[in-house]
Amino acid sequence: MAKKQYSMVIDLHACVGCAACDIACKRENNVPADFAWSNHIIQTEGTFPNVKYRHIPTMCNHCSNAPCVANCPTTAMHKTEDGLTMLDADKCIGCRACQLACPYGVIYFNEHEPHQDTPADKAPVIPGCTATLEEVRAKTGVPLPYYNPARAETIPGVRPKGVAEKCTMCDHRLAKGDMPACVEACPAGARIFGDMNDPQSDPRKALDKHAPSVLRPEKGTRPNVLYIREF
Amino acid sequence: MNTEIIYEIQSGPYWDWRVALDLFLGGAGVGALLFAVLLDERFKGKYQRICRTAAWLAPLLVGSGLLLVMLKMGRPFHLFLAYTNFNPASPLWWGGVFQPLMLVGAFVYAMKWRGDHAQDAGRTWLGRLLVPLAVIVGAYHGMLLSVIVARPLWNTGPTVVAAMLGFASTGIAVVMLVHLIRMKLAGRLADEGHVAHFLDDMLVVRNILVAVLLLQLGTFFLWWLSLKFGALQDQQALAVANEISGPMFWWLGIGVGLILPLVLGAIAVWLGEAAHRRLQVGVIGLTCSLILLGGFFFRLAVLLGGQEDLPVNITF
Repeated sequence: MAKKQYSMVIDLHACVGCAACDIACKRENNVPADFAWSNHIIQTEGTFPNVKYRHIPTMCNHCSNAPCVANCPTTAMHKTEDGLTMLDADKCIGCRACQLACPYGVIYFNEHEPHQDTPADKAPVIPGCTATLEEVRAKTGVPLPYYNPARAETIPGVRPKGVAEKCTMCDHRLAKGDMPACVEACPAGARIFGDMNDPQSDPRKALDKHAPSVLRPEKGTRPNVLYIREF
Repeated sequence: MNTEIIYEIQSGPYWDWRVALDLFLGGAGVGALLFAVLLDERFKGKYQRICRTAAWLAPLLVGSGLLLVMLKMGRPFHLFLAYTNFNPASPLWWGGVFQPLMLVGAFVYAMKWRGDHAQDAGRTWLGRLLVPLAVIVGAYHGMLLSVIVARPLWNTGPTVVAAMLGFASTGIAVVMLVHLIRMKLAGRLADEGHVAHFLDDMLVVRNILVAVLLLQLGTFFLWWLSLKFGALQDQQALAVANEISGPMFWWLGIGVGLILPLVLGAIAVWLGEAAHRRLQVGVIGLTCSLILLGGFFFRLAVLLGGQEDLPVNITF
């Protein structure tokens, strides 16, 4: 039996541009506020009344021919059996070659301690009403008030300073048979996820109906995030 | 038609002046080592003092470059992982593995230049062994940028050639400049006979340098042509780079680093070789300084210009 190849098909006709995927991703993966593992391109074209608006969700394409993997000097960035492109934070030396090599701008680097943008530890947001971060940490034992401990099952829950980070297709959820958080959060069912090597999988069925396209095909990266029904 | 695209990503530059300086110093170090081995091999002790200068400069320059690039890394002390995790597809892996090895080898080679031995079989053999290592490290520095497909400014053949020629020119220039400074400090510049001997020695070096500079100029022209008349993304990359670091590249990299040294060299030849020795020494010093200045700024301009975000082409 062929190995798995996890892929995401994004139905641009169904996508309403609500960015629920972006928010769900941030929450699920403890992503710092200024990073966006799940991101989007907004394009407006033309002059009123002849205008065109496009909202194109983006994320790591988990490319089959991933330039980030090819350029990583320590194999920190690597391909898994399931076709995912993963980053081993322990092996990352923080050279940022992956960031430079990625044609999609979906890899982020923790230049500073992450989550610096959270309110100051000592002062509550509403004095006498809300708890301080320090109090929340003491009470919950987690580094952030919005921390998801499940994220730490496969990679560091919060990635440390000096290493890169990016979408993992929620590998920790996949391990339990769940869908990635962005897929689950999408109210329009625009994100179709599954094993592309399985002819009965949802993404394969979607591609049987609609011709797919990928971002920057000229780069030869063979992305595993595919778009259908572009308009 | 008006088109506005919003795509917020973590913007660059991801690699800053420290990487440019590593490319410059590492390249010059490789050039210096190859220069020392070549002179020793070809002229059998005739240029012993210059060889000694070159041999000592190689580990100093390569080591400084490595130190700088490590300072840029998020976790520099994990660099040893390159020895336990193989990824030959990555030029950085080659650099991480072979640059420290070359550094150690070059240091041992420099140590072998201590004393006043005109000929040393062990040193000659070590030099020969270091040549492939130096070529690998040089190729790493040359290919580091060019293999990155996502950066059209870098992802060209002439990028590698320009970088490799840059190693030769800056390697020779740094050796000659430091050698002149050593002569000045030792008071040997006041000795007419010594200066005449030095200038005589310099003839072969000057010819090599002129050839390298002319080849570099031609390579830059080819590079420009391939981008200017290349695919849309190549043209965009050239336009963006010109906007960001164009003046640095054209004025400092090409003007100061290539054209001015060639003009100065031509003037020195025109002035005559016997009557103006002091002037010639000055011209050599100035020319080498300009080549080094241009060599650094060319790398910085290319490094910064190539990282600028291009207009997002939503090509499906």
